[in-house]
Amino acid sequence: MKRALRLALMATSATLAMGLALSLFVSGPAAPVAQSMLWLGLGMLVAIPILNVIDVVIIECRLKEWPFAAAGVAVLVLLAYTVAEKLIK
Amino acid sequence: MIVLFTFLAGIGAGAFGALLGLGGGIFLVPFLNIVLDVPLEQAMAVSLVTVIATSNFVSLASAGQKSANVRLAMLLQLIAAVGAIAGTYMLDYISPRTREQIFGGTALLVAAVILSRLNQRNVLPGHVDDVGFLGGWFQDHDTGELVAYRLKRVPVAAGVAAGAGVISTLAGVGGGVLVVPALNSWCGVPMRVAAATSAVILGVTAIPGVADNVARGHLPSPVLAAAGVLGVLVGSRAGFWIGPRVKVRSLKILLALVLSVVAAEYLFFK
Repeated sequence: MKRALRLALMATSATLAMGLALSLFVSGPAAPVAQSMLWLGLGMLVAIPILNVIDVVIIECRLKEWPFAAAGVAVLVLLAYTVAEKLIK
Repeated sequence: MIVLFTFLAGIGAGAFGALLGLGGGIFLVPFLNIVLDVPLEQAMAVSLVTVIATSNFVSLASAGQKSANVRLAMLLQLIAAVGAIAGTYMLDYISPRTREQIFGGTALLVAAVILSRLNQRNVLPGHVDDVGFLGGWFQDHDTGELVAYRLKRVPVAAGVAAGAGVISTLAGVGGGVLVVPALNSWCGVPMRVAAATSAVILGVTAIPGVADNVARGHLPSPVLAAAGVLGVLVGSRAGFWIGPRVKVRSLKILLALVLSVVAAEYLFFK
């Protein structure tokens, strides 16, 4: 999972770099594409800590360390609620 | 040009952030706001996004070195997330000037605590089996030996994590500025473990603030945030490389110095 997260971080960097290059050096019809790439890259960036928590929850469940697994699940629930509440409002 | 300067500032913020276990926001916000004349709310929004980038890089890199205490991070993340969410609601009632003063005072207090406990290492011999609740072992770069540590004053760690969550949202910084010194000076966690653990916490803590900033329209264009993030990722790599090559005492002095500058900035120059 950690390897997958490292790959995700590399993919995030590549997406942001391409979006940034497009937005700086290309104009016209490509501009909305550049903006979309940048938002996608930022979305991927925000997703990585969440995936990291999911990874820890899976590990703690395998170890049957339920209090720590529950703490991880609580973090995920809080984040999901907040992001949904802020962005839907 | 502003994009280039944001990228370069991101490199500096990422390097210091990785080195000290901070998000790097305390360097980036004043730079964007004062030097590049970016509105404070936008500077804080960009900073919070870059905090997540630092956290991602440092937590993934420190996973290989096993220096972060993941269980401690998980518990403190939960408390810090509650604080960060509370902070998003407080934004409606607290003036920006009050936010700056609260942050400046806290940073100054923590800098004083670090300087007063400069030689405290918080490590036990590596053969110690009982490290207690949430303690652990790690490879000390200074001595090359496996050392153990015990977590002390858990309620203090919890309280500071909640405060860090609030500060993260209110000041647009990661909150590591509180977590690292508190874990190190008051809770018995060695500096490197505190820095790595804090980095894991910061990414999650910043998410409610980022969502709130997007909702409030403080991140109108993703260009600056992207430039900052790319800079931070480059800087974090540099900071992580430098980290094991400097002594803990130097790291503490550097952290105290940075906190004093930040405190003066927020208390007197804004």
